[in-house]
Amino acid sequence: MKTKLPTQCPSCETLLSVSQLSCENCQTIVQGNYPLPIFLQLSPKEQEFILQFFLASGSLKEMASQLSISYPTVRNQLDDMIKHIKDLNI
Amino acid sequence: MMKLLNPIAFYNDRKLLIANLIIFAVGTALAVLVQAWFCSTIQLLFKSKINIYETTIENIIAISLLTLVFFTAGKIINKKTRLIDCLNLSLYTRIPFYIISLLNFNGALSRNMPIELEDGSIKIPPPSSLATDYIISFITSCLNIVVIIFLLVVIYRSFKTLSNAKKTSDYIIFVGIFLLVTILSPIIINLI
Repeated sequence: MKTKLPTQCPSCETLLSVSQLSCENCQTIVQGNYPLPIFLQLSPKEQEFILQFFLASGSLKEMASQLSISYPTVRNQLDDMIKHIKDLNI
Repeated sequence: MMKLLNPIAFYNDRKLLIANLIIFAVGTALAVLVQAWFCSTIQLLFKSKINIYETTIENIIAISLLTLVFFTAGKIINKKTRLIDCLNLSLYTRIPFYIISLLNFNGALSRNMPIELEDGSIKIPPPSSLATDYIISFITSCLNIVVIIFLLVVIYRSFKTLSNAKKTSDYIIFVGIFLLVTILSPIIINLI
């Protein structure tokens, strides 16, 4: 089962931060307080969109063709994500 | 069905434009055949005499005005709105008019409707007592209601896609411009 990375506190909905990282090879554990990168703060659907956008060399037309949807639909998704990322930065 | 209710969201713009232009040509020719008259952006009447030149020009004006409405409102809401999407939507919204005009095959619909004669006067036919005329009127009325609902859903969804409209104020801008052009369109079509 593919588990989903939680980004928000289930109790108070505040953005979570990374406090522990571990090496699967030698079991070394690193502890600290690291902010979650912006990419990981996005929803899985938004992360998938960015990946597709990158693989399509940043061409919205190419992406629309691959996803069998129209150009305005892809452009709207991108605009909504830009707005979301700007809101996260603030 | 979802694709039919929002063609702008699913179909490639160029392919949709080619399909729409073919439907426009066929629809206009059929409208001439059944004496349909596109006297405004959202109105369809019948004339006693009609020619292909006038009908084509009237249809082009109606489509251009609708495109202007979608493009103006779209540009106000979102600067990235494209003309081709607005043109596609206006051409697409004409399709139900072509289908409705087919109901007048052999004058089935227009013989009980006020008709503009060649001298410009309006001829009002006497009330019909035929049961078939009432049935035709009933079917036409039901079909018109279905078409109006279909058009409202198509325009709402497609305009949302082409302009990325989200706020209530976006729709107020669109409805305002739409009503203004709809009121002015019969005057503009009659002037040309």
